[in-house]
Amino acid sequence: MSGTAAPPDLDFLVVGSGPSGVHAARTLLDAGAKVRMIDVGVTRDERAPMPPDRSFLDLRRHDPDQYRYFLGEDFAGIPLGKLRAGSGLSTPRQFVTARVDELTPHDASPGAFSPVESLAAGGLGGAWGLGCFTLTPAELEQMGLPTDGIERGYQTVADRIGISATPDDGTPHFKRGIAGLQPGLDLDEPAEALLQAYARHRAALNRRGVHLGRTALALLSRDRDARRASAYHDMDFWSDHGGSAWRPARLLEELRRHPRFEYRDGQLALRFRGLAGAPVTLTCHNLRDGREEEHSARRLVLAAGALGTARIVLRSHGGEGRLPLLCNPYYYSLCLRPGLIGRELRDRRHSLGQLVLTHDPRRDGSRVTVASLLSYRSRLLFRLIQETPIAVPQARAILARLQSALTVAGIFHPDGPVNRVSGSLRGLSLVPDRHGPAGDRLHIDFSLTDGERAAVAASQRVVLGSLRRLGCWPVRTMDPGMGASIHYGGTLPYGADRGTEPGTGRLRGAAEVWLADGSPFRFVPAKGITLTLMAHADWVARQALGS
Amino acid sequence: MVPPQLEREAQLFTRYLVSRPVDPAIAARYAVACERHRLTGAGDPVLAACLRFPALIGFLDAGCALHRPQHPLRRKLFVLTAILETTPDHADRFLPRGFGAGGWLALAGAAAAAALKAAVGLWLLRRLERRA
Repeated sequence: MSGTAAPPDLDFLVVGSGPSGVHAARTLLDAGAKVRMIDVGVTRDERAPMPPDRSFLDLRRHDPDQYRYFLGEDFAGIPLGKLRAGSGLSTPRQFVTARVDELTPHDASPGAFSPVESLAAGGLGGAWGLGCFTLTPAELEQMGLPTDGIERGYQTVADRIGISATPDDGTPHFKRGIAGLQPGLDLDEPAEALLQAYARHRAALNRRGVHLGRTALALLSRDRDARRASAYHDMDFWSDHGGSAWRPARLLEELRRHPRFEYRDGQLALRFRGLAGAPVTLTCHNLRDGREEEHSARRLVLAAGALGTARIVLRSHGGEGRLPLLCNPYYYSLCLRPGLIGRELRDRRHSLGQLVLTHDPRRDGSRVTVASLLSYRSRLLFRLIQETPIAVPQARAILARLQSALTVAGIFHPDGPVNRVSGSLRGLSLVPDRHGPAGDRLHIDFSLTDGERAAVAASQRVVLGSLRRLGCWPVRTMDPGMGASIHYGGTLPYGADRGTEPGTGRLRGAAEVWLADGSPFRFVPAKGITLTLMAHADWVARQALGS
Repeated sequence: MVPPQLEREAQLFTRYLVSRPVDPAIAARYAVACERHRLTGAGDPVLAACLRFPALIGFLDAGCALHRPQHPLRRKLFVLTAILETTPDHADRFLPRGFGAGGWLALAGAAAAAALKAAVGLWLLRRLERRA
């Protein structure tokens, strides 16, 4: 074992550089702490081609080399076979999940659970859809999070990343209480038409607990410092030219220029040890020389993602035991808008979620189902042709003509609270595996009870029915399998014996270890949780500083 | 150098998909993609029938779409479709467009052709499977 002597003044080790890790580190640095970030830090191959800074239609019609970045030079970006979690990642973003199977293997019953994890610099944030959702007090309470602390975190994070949003019917449900927002981004015509239809049916939909509003996005509508406003090139799925999209890798670059910050990549965190009042020692697998390496600091902040952090904690406890798991059931529905068939649409648009439809069956904000709505164009038609059970030339002829009228609804359902899910049907444990560098793999059990399935189906019926009422006809609903929502949590829940201390974010039984990712969430809401993950990381970092 | 079997597939499938002769660059990309995705289909009776009787490709494609969506024929057609879609010469076939009455007729024609091909294709596929 090779050792890395800790500088005597090293205050914090932060594991992971995703949305949680970079914001925890930023808060720690702002308070004067000295921070070392431990990360595998996979980056995009700089030799791999990236799309030029031009619009989608311009590239499609004129660039003879477009296949290199749309499909990959070896055509690995053509997803064949059954739909699965992560298969929607565009070719230039596939580095986000690189080396995961090799370094952090998992197994699950076939088809039962397929997680998407990242070991990349910037984590899964490198492929984030940029949707920013604030949660209601009822949701935060179910998650075990302090409303005041998280709302302060929302503001801190919004000030750091820049969010564009327009006040509307969605404000109380998913974008309340943040000041200093940029004006909302322009909508495309299908979204404008949907909002007009909503205005006509608003009263009836609201009575059913259904609301529609524009998505708040971490995509700039105005220039901000060195970052340019969105150019509406419809290339957001493929590239981040101009820096209008906020990604964790951007903040990581800023952190690396800070004199009290040190970034150690090529390190897979394995386990920690440390007694109360003593420094924490983190053992890592050095990917460059294959040896184990130790890092010590006064405190440790784990932000390796709910599954990554679960591995580290289980190993630190001798590999024994089983942890719970939460994950949103997720489906997506391809909807046809008959009123838009044959219409010529504007080229100027962004590719991200345009609108959000919420269904709040209890009217108290505690169990909201969410449909994120976006138009289908820049993801390339062959993916859709593949899902169409007719001959390819006819599928192309039909879908190309219907494309302007297609809307994709990504439907997320809440999961939890953790004490109500069946521990026998869900859980994580480590099993020996000599192939992985840690000598283990994560075994995942995950299935829903009949009652959970019924609740999901009931809410889904209301969401799809509401879309039909708005003239958006669901023609095919697809199930990419459990795990595809890419929102995981509840592995070390707040308040549980083997979990996290409420009000502090500290891991129980480990005096100097804090959890800054989704591991402690007792409930995973249907709304995208990335903004809340970042706000939570800011709050946990403040608790760790103040302890 | 594109292997002869893949060259022949690229020729036939390109003509089937976009009614044009294959460009050598497209055939080369098709060969690389087939190798990357390990799409051989060697000895498969459906693929053999397509190469021997190109007029059957449309029917067998339609039959597989319903009955065997992961068949090597379908996978090979998807790969070539993706390559054609990301080629400027063919891009407009895949992009959204406004249209009038003629477009509605084309839509109806495509739907009718899809149904007819599916019916014949299922029958053909079953016969081939029985003989194999």
